[in-house]
Amino acid sequence: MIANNLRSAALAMLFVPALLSSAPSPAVAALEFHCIEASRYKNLLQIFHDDPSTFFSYFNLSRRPLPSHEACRALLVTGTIAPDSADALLGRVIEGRGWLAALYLSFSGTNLEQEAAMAAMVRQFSLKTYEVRGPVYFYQPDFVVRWTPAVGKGGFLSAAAAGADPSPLDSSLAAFLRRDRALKLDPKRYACAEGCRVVWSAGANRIYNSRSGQADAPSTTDQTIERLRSVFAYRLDRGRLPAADDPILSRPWDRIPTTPPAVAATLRKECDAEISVAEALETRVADVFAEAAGKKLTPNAVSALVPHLNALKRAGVRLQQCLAAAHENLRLRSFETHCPKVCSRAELLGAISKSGAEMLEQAGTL
Amino acid sequence: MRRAFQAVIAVLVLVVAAIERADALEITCIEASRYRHLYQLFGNDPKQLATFLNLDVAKLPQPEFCRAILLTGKVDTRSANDADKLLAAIEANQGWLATLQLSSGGGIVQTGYQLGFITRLFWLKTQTATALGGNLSYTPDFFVPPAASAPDTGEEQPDAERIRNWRNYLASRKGLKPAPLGYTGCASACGLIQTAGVDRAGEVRVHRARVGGAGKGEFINLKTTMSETDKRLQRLELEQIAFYRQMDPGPDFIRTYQETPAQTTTPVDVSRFPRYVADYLTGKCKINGDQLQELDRQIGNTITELNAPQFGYWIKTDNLRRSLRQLRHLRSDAERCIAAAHEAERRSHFAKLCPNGCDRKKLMDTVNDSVRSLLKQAQ
Repeated sequence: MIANNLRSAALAMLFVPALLSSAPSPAVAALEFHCIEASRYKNLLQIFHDDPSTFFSYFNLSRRPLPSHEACRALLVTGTIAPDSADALLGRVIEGRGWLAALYLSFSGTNLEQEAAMAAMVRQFSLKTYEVRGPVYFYQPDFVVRWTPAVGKGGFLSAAAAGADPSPLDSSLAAFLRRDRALKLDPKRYACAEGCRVVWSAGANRIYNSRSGQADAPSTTDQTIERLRSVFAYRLDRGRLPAADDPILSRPWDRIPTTPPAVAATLRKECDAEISVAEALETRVADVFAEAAGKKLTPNAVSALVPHLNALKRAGVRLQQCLAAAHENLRLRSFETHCPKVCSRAELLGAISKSGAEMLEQAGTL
Repeated sequence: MRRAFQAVIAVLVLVVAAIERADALEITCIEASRYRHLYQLFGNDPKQLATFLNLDVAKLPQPEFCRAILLTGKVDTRSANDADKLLAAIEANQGWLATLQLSSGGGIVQTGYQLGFITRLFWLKTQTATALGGNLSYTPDFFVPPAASAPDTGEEQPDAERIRNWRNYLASRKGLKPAPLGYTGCASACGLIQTAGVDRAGEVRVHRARVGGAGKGEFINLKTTMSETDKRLQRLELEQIAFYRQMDPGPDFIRTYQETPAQTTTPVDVSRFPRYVADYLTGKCKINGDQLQELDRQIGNTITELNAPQFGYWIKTDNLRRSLRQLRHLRSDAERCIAAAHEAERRSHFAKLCPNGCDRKKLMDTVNDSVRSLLKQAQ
């Protein structure tokens, strides 16, 4: 057994460098990082009624200095991966002082070493990742969504009274969403392809839009590299290697769960109470609906659903706020762990690159 | 004489409602609404359609007739004969045309009145067109599409046949040429058509009265005095309010119309039915179709909102999905009753208005009488 492992490791040591050197590298390669204008904190504060207390309380944070008004919560990453890409990303993470939360990924190219280092960095700093799939893509705040207004007291045909929105941020979010939030994408080169997908799969939360990107996202034809990437992503998520014939390795990239198992477990723990209430209310609404259906959905029977549906909406908003706060605290803690007072960029890059390279090496043994 | 001349000039100026698009109103059949495709919703059996809508089996629509048409572009001046184009489409489909899908930024108010009165006269339904991938997204007016599958229990679902038929219908549409929508929405004078529907869907973007100036994009005519402008616009507003009252678009509509400055537009939901039509249908069908539609929307949106991916964790919504599926099934019966009631009403209107074919000139006289009566109310 031990002999087998040693033989595999030895093979991997031969195999990974061979892949690294065989990977295609474009003539001019560099990643570009663009701050998404709408995500600057001076703009996002509008969602919190420009009130620091609302901001801190929403994220369940103790009072502290606000992020710089010019700081970006989300970056668009375009171009082609290059030998200095991980260092460049680290520079932007450090610059964000923990307030950088999301990467919108729209780059391509292959450099396994850099992909692995960037992926390890994304995971260690608990960043969320968005895979850009089409030429038109909009920035969406990662911590709040707009809810359909609550049902009014008069029943399903009446608007709720002002201020009766399920979320206290709804009206200001509506105003924010009217901004120009379009990402500035190259109309001919917008997909997240090749190494980009490895970085995307490292996100603490991984989002893509519904448009199928398969036709638009060219990917390397080298199946060995694709397999190595899949094994690496699995290793990063689960802390172990998959079985060689695990069907997960042949699944499309976007079929991986939205949340890595460890992050999902943290969220479940942090928001257990809110989850229980929302689950109970979901069942209750269905039960009351069944009663109404038993009464042939007469107008009065249908109206009886209103308070329960509104309660479910409010519970849903509270749950999402709790989850957003859990993500926020997780990310800020990660940053403080890596950069307690000052950041040693070189040391950090060395450690993270090493961690990425080790996982890549392990992945190569499969 | 001078006063008459001024009145003519005033009318000419008043009828200009500012819009950005310059192309004329186009009316096209929505291919997927041809009856030969709609029969797929009934196992390709026209008799089942007849049973569903309570129709005489011996008098079914020809397979090529269109149940819905798309109106796009500018609601044009009288000389463009938009009203006649609509009457021609109604006549060509022998009263089987039921729905107008609207995609227009507006245009000439007077033409809007004509198109609106024709819509109500022939008891047509209206819908603000929606796009999917830049093309018109069409759902037949009488059919409630099944909800996405609830968890599989292994049992045959009560709506299994409806789901099969819906899938067959979607398959039959696949080869059809899509209808691209340049402008998505219904604004300004388009709202005069939308609100005239007897069963309406979608929002309308409104603004209070405008008087076009000489330049493109001008919403006020600065060549007239303030007092003249005020007087003219007050009168135009009274006209439009009288029209909207008649069409009964819902409690917020007129208020939003009056509150929105001429330079901008505000979206406003239109009630599905005029109030007394709603009361009639609730009495006849024993359910409130509007209420159930809203419940459907609320449950569907709540499921989507609870499942927002950016939070990384969400509760299971299997119970709600099951409720939504059951609701769609129950709604399909309710909507069948509503659709059959509308169908009978529309067929009888057509039979009265076009007993031996449509006399379009006579019909236009009737429509213009309605417009004149409206203008009188504003005097």
